[in-house]
Amino acid sequence: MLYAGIDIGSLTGKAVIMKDDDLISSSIIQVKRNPVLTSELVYTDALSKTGFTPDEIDYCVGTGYGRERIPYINKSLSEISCHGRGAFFLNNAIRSIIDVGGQDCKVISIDEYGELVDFRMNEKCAAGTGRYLEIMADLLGLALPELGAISLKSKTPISLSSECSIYAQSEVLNYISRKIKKADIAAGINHAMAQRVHKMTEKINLQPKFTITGGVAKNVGVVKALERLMKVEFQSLSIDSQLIGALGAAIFAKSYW
Amino acid sequence: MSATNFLDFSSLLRNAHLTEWIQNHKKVIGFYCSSIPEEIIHAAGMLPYRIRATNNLNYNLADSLLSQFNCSYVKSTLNLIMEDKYNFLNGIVIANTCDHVRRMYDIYKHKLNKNSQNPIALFFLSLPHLFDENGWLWVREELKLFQEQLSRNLNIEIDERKIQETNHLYKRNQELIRKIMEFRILPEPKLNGVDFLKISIANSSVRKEYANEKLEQLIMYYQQDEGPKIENVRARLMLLGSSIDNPAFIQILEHHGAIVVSDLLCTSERWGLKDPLWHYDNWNSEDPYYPIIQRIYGDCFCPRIMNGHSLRMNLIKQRIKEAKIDGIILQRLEFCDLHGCENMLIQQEMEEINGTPILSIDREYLLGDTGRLRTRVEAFLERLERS
Repeated sequence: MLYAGIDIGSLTGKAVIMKDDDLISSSIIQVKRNPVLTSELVYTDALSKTGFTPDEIDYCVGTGYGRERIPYINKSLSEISCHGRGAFFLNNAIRSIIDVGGQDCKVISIDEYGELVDFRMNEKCAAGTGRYLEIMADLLGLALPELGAISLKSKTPISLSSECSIYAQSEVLNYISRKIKKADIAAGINHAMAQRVHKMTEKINLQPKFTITGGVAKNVGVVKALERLMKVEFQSLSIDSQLIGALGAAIFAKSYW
Repeated sequence: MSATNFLDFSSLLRNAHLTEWIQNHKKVIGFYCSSIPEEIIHAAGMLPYRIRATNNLNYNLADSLLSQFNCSYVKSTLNLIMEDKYNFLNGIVIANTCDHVRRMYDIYKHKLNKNSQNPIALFFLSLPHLFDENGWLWVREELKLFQEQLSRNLNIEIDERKIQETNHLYKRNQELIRKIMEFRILPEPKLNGVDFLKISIANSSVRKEYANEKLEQLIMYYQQDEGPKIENVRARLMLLGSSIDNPAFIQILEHHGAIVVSDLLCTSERWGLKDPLWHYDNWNSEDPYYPIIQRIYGDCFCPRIMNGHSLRMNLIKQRIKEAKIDGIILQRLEFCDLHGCENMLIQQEMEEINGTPILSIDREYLLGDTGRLRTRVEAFLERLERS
């Protein structure tokens, strides 16, 4: 049997194709001008690597903020449930998932069956999301993926006093004008981001083991800072952290079939 | 006009009944809070109109008079007032029941009335924040003062007979609302949360003679065998917290197949509460003010009553059973002090002790970011389905 999970986020579209219990193809693309187009392109790309056509897919679940706009899915589910299910599928010892995406951050608690127990999601604010890192990387003249690695070289990280993305920009500009090293500024940015996420993790009863998913999980600086703040070690997952929501959707597709 | 047309009154500030009332040169008095003695305004031959923020789009004007730390609901109403959308009001009654609403008295007194060619009558009610004998007597005194001020300022006679007649009318209105509340909690509800809020909003925007006629028609409509019913309800929700006058918010909660079957909001179900929350025994029930004091004070579900928390909790638990609630949506307008503390306590007690799942939402009045809200609600429903 063939199943698909499609996750249309704010910055990227993701697709996972599964044959029975095996992930056989996936795709990640930057979002296009509308969620419908993104969903079609990412699905086509993932399928093209398998030789299967959309008609051969037995069940497809959509998730992400654009889930209701995906025209070809059989069902939509929240990305909160999907991230929980995807992470659990890869490591069934995981009980807590921190998903930091492009425009939001979720802290998810699941039980021993991978079922959603509780969650928290950030309020309407860019701080603590991938967008914050994007803005800061841009200010530093770095590509987004560089922000994590460069921060590990820091000896004396700066401290950002404001949580607000807008005010933090002024602070970062100030540090840049004072010729502070990029590594130190990047470390301060990642730490501020981790602090913001850490506050959310304290609002909910989380059990070990922990993992981190979403695009921000690729920023090693944020991950290390969050591990220090939470005093935990994140379990690494065997596939790209951005695909976990789409993977969860595909797992759900199998259960709904 | 069909019975359900009454619901459309919620989407306009000037409904057909109000327009006709104004055309006949009759007066309209605005108010914000359920603890305002509408009955006295009604007995004075005026239309008590609950101020709301319907169709407000921004805070551009209101931002000049209220800070960024003020409630966005109150700010929205001020924006509409400054856009002249409430120019049909002849007066306004403010109480010390919410600090953000309270600011509206100062704004009217020191800004709006001073800059207006047609200043409106201003009334202020001081109401207690505790249930006790002194509070009861205090409210009695305030009602008397309010009645005198209303008579004097607007040159209107209000006698006790008129108040008693009005009390009967208001009692009937509450009974009718209660009857409609029963349709909400049926295994297959006759109406959803959106429609009940629309009815409640419409009910607070017209004279009660008119409202009662419309509510009776609605009851007949819902009672029909072939009348509406909602099948395959995904989850039965209770909605608690700050004021809501915008059905679109509840529409988001109900978008994925859940139904808000009970709400206990001050703009909605609190009007039809069945049993008194608190009662002062040593009082003459023949007093024409008696039913008013009971409604605005003894039945006051508002968290401003500091020693009423356990009574409110008992009522929530009772309502959870009656309405067979699966989960609670606990929402708070940003900077709402009253529901800030109360929601925290409700969350602790209901979720940790009572075991009722809760989704807690902080929101602004204007619905800008509905995608995030939809995700949270959908995840909450998925959680309920698996628990």
